[in-house]
Amino acid sequence: MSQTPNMRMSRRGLLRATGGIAATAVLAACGNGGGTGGGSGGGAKGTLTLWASTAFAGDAKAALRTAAQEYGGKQGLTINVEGFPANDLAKKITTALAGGGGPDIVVADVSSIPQFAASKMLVDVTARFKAAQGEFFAGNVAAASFKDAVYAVPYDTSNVALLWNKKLFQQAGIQSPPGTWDELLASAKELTGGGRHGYMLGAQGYGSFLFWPWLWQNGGRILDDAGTKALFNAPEGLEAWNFYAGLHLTHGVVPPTFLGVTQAWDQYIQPFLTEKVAMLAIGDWGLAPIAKGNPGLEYGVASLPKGKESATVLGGNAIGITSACKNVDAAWGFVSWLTSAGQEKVLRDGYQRIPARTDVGNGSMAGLDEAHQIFIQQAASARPRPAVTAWGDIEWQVMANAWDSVIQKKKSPRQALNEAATAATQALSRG
Amino acid sequence: MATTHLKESAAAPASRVASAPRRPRGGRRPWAYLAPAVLLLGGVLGYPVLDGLWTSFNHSILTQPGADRFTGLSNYAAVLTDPVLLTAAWHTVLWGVANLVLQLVLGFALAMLMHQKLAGRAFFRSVVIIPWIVPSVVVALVWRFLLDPTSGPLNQLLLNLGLIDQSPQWLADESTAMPVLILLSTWKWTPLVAVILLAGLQTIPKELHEAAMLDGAGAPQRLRYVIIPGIRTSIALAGLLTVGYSVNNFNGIWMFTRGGPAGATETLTTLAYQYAFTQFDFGRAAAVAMILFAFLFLLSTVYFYLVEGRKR
Amino acid sequence: MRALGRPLVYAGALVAVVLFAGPFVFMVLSSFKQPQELNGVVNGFLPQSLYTGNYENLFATGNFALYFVNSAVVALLTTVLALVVAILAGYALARFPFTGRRLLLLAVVAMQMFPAVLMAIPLYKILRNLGMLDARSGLILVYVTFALPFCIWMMRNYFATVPKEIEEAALIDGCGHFRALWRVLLPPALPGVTAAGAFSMILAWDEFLYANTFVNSDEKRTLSVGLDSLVGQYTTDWGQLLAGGVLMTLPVVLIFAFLQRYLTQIAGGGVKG
Repeated sequence: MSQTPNMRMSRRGLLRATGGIAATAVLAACGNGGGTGGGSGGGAKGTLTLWASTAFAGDAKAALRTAAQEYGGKQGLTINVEGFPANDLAKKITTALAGGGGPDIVVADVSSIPQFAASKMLVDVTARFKAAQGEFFAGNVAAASFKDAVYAVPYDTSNVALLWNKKLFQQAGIQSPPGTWDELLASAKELTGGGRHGYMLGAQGYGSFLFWPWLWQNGGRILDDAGTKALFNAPEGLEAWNFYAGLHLTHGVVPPTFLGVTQAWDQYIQPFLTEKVAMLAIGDWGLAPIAKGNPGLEYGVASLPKGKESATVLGGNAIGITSACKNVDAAWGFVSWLTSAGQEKVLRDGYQRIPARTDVGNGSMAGLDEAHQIFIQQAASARPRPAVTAWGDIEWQVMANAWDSVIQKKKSPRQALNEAATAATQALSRG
Repeated sequence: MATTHLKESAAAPASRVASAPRRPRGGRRPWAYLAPAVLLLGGVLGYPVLDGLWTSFNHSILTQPGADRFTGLSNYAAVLTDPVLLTAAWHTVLWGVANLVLQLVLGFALAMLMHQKLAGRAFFRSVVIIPWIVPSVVVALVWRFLLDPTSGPLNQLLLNLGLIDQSPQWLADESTAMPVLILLSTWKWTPLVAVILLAGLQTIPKELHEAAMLDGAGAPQRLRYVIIPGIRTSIALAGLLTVGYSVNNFNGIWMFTRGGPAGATETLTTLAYQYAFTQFDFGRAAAVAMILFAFLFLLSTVYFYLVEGRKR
Repeated sequence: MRALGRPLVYAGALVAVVLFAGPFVFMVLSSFKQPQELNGVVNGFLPQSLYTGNYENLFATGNFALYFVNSAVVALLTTVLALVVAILAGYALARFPFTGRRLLLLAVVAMQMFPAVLMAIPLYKILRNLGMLDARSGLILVYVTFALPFCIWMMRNYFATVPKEIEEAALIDGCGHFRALWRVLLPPALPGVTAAGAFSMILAWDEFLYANTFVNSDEKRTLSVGLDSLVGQYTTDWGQLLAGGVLMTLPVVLIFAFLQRYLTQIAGGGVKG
């Protein structure tokens, strides 16, 4: 160890060096960020950022990207499309907008629109949308609205139907899919046995989402008109709930593994794919994974069995302009173009999805396979879930927990439903 | 157990530094070395913690913009009367303690194995730390595959061996979900504990072992008088880390069960998440987080005084 | 340490390998399976054939190679910066008595205990103000800081085990503290440096929550987020996900295999010298 001249500078030099490390200079230099604010908040005029789930913007060739490029090219706009996993999208949008950044345009599940609207994260588009509103299904418009104002333009629409395995039905000697609750139960019992089961259910939020059609079919309602009180535990609701839970608890026509369906629709579809289950209720989003996972599977699609009336639940996505957007006119131009009659091909050809436009019945969807047709027919009558702020909490927390406590046999169906109604009403009172 | 050896431990001279003749008596010199760390920790960790503390005293619900106001302890009152909190707190304690015990015991055994002169030691050392390297996103995926009740290889293996006669639903059954998640978390994090302990083992001078051997000390004696005192600080560090990280391990629960089935794996962390991102009540979420933080802070303090000794 | 019987040691090692590496081997095998094998339509532990479509799709459909580069840059810089900062701080905490030392130590231990999920929004604000959103620099800043408590604590403990006399001899020789730190204190503390470096690197490589929150553009994503984006809302390509998981894990395993041999040698030398 020899003495060196730079000993003297060591302390000062060190101070400077360490300060430099701690300061962001080094860090900022190594990334290519800085300055731009990271594509948030609209940035310069002429640039728009759109966030969607990976279902729409999963890869570089996604149809939505191509469409954005096409429109941007015509208008002299740059439209950046970013995709995020659906489970993260709402949280990601929330965090970014609450933190002062975020995209200009979002394509989001309709059930998250009221929460964004209440948080003042979306721009009220009622006036701009007025002229075109009639071209869209009323249910989808209602789902994208909050307190009498429209906050997003309906994009695609989906609903739930019954898928049935033709081979298993034939083996059991059943000719056609069930049309009523009683037929469903009878068929399911027939189809259960030898390691197979008749019907599929989901756990947690998958269970609560798929309950709503049963509730409506039995004449029940989720909330009162004002959206302040839960009504789903009224006698009709309890009866539907008992029947729904009884498929598993009383009749055992559901594979016990459904208790593990908590993360993704894949898990829900899997037993149907592998022909361990003969029937399941699902939306048109279930068709593509089936075609991919088991191309040879022979199945039919039918409307959900009827109770006192027929009903199915409406879903889909809607496109909103965020409060971070600095060029609302440009953003609106793109949104109205993308949802216009000429662009239904993006959804149809790019994603095999059904636009939430009333003209889908006019043959413009003929390009989609037969399995899709029943979903198209149901699009006009599918019912939206209530557009209230607390909806995510009610569906994915309150009702999901209630359903879980029933299927895990921790609570009686009646007790769980009544407690859920109390909790839901309480959640509604928080605004 | 580690604390009793404090005085005679050769491995902890730090506490005796105070008496050393230092030229400019502390002064500014240590702060020059500390400046970058203090800046980063204060800015990037300290500020968000203070922000959380402040939020916990405010009515702060995202879906009620403009309604934010100071409300004192009302968030704490609200979450403490939520019946879910007690269950979640109990699960958190269970989760933390089980992870601590399992990971320390298995991590120590693994570290001892890694320290042996084995043929193929380099291979062994790099292979057993794989779980720690496999990203959490992938861990969740692989284990959901392995544990799948019907098609998962684990159940098929157990069935073939005749150990079970029907397929358990590991993650969907209320009684097994928590234990299984604890085992998965142990699988993922034990290698880290082993690496920390191995680093400790490597600092024990060979001479100590040899001296002990000459004194005729058997394996248990050497374990007790040489090895454990020698890696005392490493054990303490690993222990604290295990508790802190496992209690805050959100992905390790959320990616598997989302707190279910029927709340069986709900911990304070998943509860705070739900307050924040399904109810958008950041005030209450922060209150839950602060309760958890206060508890962990207390634990850190206890650890600190036990390990750092009763100097002064 | 020849006290444990040799056969017993090897048996233990075998069990450890099976338990800890087994699931990874399963993952590697499954990454060569076709969709029908992965979703349970066709069952089997071994793939029916060496199907490489999952790997091909991974590179054909997305920016996987780019994610890889991003992760590598972020992990490398995080590790280097965290180590430098932690070595300096650990040295000060181990060797200098000063007012506030104990409080600082306690703060370092305790601060990492705050639930990460709730730090997302305040951190987002910080990064936005620094102009470091949607940039690798922002992630590095956050990761370095999150790695620090562990690294500082580790380094401090190691420096504390180095006999003071060695350092004093160096100081008497005319070395400054700074040089004494690098020349004399660091070599015996190398096992600690290795552990701290490995910790920082894996933290940065694995981290998901913040990478997902602070990065928007696809071309700036890290592997964790890139892989997670393969998890679809309605359908998930498990095959691609497994292939990506294998590719994400393997290089780190190899780096560790290489580094640990190399670093153990240095460490062994350091203790002797």
